[in-house]
Amino acid sequence: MNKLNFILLVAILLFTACEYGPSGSNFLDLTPPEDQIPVEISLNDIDPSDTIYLYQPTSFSLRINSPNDLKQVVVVLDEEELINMWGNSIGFVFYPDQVEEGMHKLTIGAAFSSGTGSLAEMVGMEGYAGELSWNIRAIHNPQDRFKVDYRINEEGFLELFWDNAIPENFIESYTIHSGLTQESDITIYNATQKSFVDYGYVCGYAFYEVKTQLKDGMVFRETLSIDRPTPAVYFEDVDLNNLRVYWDKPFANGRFNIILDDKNIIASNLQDTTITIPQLWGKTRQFIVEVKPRIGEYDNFHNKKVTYGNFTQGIYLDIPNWPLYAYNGTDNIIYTSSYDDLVAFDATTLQKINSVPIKGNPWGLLYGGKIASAPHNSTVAAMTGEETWIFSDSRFVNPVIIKPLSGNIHTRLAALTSNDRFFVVQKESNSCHVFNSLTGEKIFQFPFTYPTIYDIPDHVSVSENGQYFCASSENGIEIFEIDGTATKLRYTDTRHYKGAIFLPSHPEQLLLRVGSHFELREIPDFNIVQTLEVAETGVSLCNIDPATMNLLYHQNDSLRVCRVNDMTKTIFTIRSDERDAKIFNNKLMTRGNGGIAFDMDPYVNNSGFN
Amino acid sequence: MKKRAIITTLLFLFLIVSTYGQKGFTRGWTIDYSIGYGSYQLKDIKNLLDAMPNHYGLKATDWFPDHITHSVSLGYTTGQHHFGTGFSYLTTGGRLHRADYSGSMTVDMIMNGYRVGAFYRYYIDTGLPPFSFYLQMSPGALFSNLNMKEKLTIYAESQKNITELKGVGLYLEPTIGMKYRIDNWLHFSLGGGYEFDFLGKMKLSGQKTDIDSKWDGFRLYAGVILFYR
Repeated sequence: MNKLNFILLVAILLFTACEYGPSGSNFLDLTPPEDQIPVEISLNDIDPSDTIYLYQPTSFSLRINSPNDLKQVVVVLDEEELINMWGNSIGFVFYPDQVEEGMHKLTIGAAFSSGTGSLAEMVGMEGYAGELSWNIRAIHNPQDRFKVDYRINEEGFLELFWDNAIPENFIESYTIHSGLTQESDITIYNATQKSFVDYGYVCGYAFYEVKTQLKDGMVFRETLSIDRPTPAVYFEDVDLNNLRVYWDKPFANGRFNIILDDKNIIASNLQDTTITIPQLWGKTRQFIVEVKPRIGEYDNFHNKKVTYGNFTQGIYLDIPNWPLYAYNGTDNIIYTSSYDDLVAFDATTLQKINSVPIKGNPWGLLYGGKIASAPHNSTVAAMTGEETWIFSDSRFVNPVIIKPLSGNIHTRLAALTSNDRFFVVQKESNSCHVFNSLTGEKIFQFPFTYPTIYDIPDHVSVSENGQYFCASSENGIEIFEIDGTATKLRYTDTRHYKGAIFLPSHPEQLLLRVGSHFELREIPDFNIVQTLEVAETGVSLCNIDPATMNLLYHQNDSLRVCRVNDMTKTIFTIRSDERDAKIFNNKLMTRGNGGIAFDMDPYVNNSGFN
Repeated sequence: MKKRAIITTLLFLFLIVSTYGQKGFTRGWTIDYSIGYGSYQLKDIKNLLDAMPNHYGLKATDWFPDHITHSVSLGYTTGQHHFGTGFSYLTTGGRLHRADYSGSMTVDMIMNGYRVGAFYRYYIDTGLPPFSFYLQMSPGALFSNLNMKEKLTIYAESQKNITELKGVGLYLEPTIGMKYRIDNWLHFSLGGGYEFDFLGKMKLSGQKTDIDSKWDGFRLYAGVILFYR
């Protein structure tokens, strides 16, 4: 057994020791690489000290030069490897959305072979590497971040300003299109100039398109609409003689023309926003403020803005044109008309008291002509286009109707007297018709010699008590005394008369406009009581206020008021073109222009004529 | 055709020799150890070596050469008959290699074969004692193991990778030889044969591959036989 064990042991040792061991060596004697090699990395020829702005898909071309073979190119953004390229196709496209907005570091790394052919080179553990970094700023949606806005600059002009996310050195130009304020587009080639002063804009609507043209051809467009109100016009009733017209300051500097009644330029090229002008009573004045660019060379059709404003000095009664007026001293009522309505106003407050329609077929009061009120009671008469209605008072009930007895604006006389008579003289008539104002019956009529051709002022007048009748004209005058139905000519001459009015409450006194004078004469002797020298022409007699005995007349450009017992002393003057205005209870009333009143009371002494 | 001719010849010789007398042969247990030399076809394995990736500039420096074999057997002999069981160990290998100043790469493929089988030996009396001839037929199973060791060393860093393929096949080896009796308990033997392998597909991690582990080739043996009675 010892022999056997020995043999087995030997066999096992031989077995274990005899596994084949491959042999042989293949050693290549290669030259190790140099420590360094020159490497050139170029990215779109951008200097590494410059910042790359990534605002649109951008193609980058890499140029990498080295004496050794390029093995790999790696594009690393910050710490993240974005692109790994092999071979010669070394270019890539970078999209702004690939990276977060802001500053990043872009590194281009390149690996080169060692050129030795060693195992280490083959497994990538031997070679050369080079890298170069650029700062890259990602800008998302630069179009959306091109912002245009506007402001008023220190000089007061409109200034557009804008801002880009794109730096200025990438910008070729800016172009501003403003068809409403500029004749042609404006191109700014200075990229640092990020504003434009539009001297052509003052207010209103304007549309702008601003373009940013980048050097690479990309264009950003942004539109801007401005709609600032055209200035509104305001009025300040400074005093009797002065009216201040002012208007809002427009958004930007402008110049202003003030046009009155659509035709008269009363001020031009104003830079201030206020102007004080003389008052003019008796009409509603329309003011037009033309707003234009401060500098005239920027004027065009579109940037001229117009604003309107109306001003009426005094009190606007809001009644149609050509109202008629009569005053009742008993009730202190001013009667007038509004279309077909006979209307009563309180003569102190000018508040409407009552009205009654007097329709006719076809004319009615709308096309009627005269209103009269009695001096001794509340009676009022209205002459329509067909007939005459006489009411006992302002309740306007149970009228006495005289038909046919029409009146119109040409009717020379329509007067109620204290003896309950109604005197009427029609246009171009040389006959006075006298009616009973209580019954409407015609009492009688009488002729006179000198009918006037003028509607205004009054040339025909009857004294309040019905005793005297005067018919004056450009050819002469006749003064009759009436006793019942009999008339007696008390005075006549052939002077050229321009008006005649019996004084209220003073039936024996007659105010005449003749030659270059006002003459206050006593009837029946025609003695002169008082005279006032006025101009030969340009003077018109209006009326005498029954409540105050103030005389109203128009001279040149003004209405003037004086005491009828002292005509030399003018107590009130107001600038006006209304030659046929009336005065009742110190209220100036116009016949035309919608019924405009003016309360003189604050300006005059109310002491009446006795 | 060549293999068939050899087999036919050996069987013919066995039948002729078996007709001679059975005198002069003893009876008892035997233990046999032989060292040998074999040629290995290993066609697929060699192809595998050749087909290894060569982009590292590897070069085959060893290519599965003929190599020594070891065999042991345990048998029983009676008269001219000798039979029993045996075990043989076959080994060879190949290498791919590349080295330079930066490091080296080595791929060693070591192929080991383990034969376990039976044998039957018939002794022919030559009349020239202590010499005698014999004819032998040994079938069995052949376990093959291919160990691929890849080692890459670059400067101070190295990396290893080992892959192992295994296969099981059958073999049949007719042998002819002579025996010299040194003593009653110790004989010396010398023989030669040819190994035929069948089946033997190799597997990698349990998955069958197309690689055959066929060790076909000539075998030469020289050994000693110990007798126990």
